[in-house]
Amino acid sequence: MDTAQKYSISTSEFSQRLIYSNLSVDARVSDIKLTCLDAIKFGIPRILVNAVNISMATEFCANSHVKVGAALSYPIGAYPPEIKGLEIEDANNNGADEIFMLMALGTFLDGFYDKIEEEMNTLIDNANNKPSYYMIETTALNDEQLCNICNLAKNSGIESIITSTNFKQGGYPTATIEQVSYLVECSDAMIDIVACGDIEESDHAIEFLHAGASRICTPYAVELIKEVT
Amino acid sequence: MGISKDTKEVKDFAAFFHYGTLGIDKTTQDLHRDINKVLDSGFIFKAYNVEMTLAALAKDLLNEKMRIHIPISYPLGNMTLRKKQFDLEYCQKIGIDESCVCLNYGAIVSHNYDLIEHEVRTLSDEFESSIELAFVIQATLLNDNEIIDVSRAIGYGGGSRIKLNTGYGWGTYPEEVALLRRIFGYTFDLHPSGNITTLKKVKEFLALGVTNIHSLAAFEIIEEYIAERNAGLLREQ
Repeated sequence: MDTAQKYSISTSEFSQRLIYSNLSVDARVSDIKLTCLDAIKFGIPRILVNAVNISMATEFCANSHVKVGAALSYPIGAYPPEIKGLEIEDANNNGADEIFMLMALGTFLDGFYDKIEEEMNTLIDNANNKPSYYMIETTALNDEQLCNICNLAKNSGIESIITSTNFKQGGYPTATIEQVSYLVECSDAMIDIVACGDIEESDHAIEFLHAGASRICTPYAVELIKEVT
Repeated sequence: MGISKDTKEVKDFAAFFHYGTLGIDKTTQDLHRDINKVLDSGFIFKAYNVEMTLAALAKDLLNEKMRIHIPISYPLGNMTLRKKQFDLEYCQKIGIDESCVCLNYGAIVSHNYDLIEHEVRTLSDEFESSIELAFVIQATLLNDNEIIDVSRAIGYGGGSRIKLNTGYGWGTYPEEVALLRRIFGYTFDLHPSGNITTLKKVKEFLALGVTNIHSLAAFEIIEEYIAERNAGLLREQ
């Protein structure tokens, strides 16, 4: 019995719930091209790339089913809302299909929740009705803070929270299954929770899905699909 | 008689350093603590480096006592040129003195130096008159030819300051500074950054004519300098 069968999820459904990320700081043209071609080949519905690679990725994915997501304010996040708004407009102009915007973690830790609401509203207002994701660093936060973020997101109308940046040089570790489960609980089914990180094994990915994550965002999407088929 | 942190010689040494409050999770509390430490010390660092969300507060707290420096598109320049322009327009608006802009690393390693030159020229033409710009090349991740070629592209684009690394686990080696000195002489003002934690390393950079050293270990290095100088003076006596 393969992994997907074991957890009552079909291979095609599993693929549909993957976001194939290539946020390597040193990704070259050939790397982005390969990410796009692999997403097309393996039926992965969406990819996530750094802002500077959006135009290139949309060209490589043209006329395919693959949607290109832009990682914005990534990986630092410490930008004022007005700058984030301009950055989203720029990503729209460059052809991004979906917008992933990183929170200002320090601002949140300061308790400046009005600023956090402002950046959430900026995301919603500037995404032009495209799917949008608010990216947080789950493992930098305690349960109370995670719940606060969910509440702010619910009030603002955020559709999806993505749990980690998976930034290797200075970011935080991947969220745990328990943390994802807790975020799902706090979201009251009003927000999709996307588990993100170095999720390398299908068992691990499926555990996240069973914990209530709507999708898995990982640079190992192709490996996961190969494992379950 | 020994020297202390109040001695002019030590203050002059401190003036080589960029110090600051940097990182994705830095709060206003961190900024207050770090700036108080700087103000209490009496040192006037070359500049105070801070994330953009904290820039306006840092400016208020330092009250013109020190220049403010904002890093742009960290850590490897993976933001668009437009985003870099937005950031610098914001810096301009709030009166920031200087910035270091990470160049598009993907373009550097793809040897797309025309794009680098364009990036440097666009930003220099638009902002250099109001903000002192250094361009970050992430030298440690490049080979010698790439270091030379990207520096040449910066020069062609009108840039005159090169910051060699961002930190984030990557550090500058004296050999990288020496390479650029050998090829370009003093055409560029070179700014080492990243993993500079000892007086020995700082001395190596100073010997190569460097006048800007980015280090969050500035206080420890200055203490090491004072201790070393005092030990030397003691021996002389």
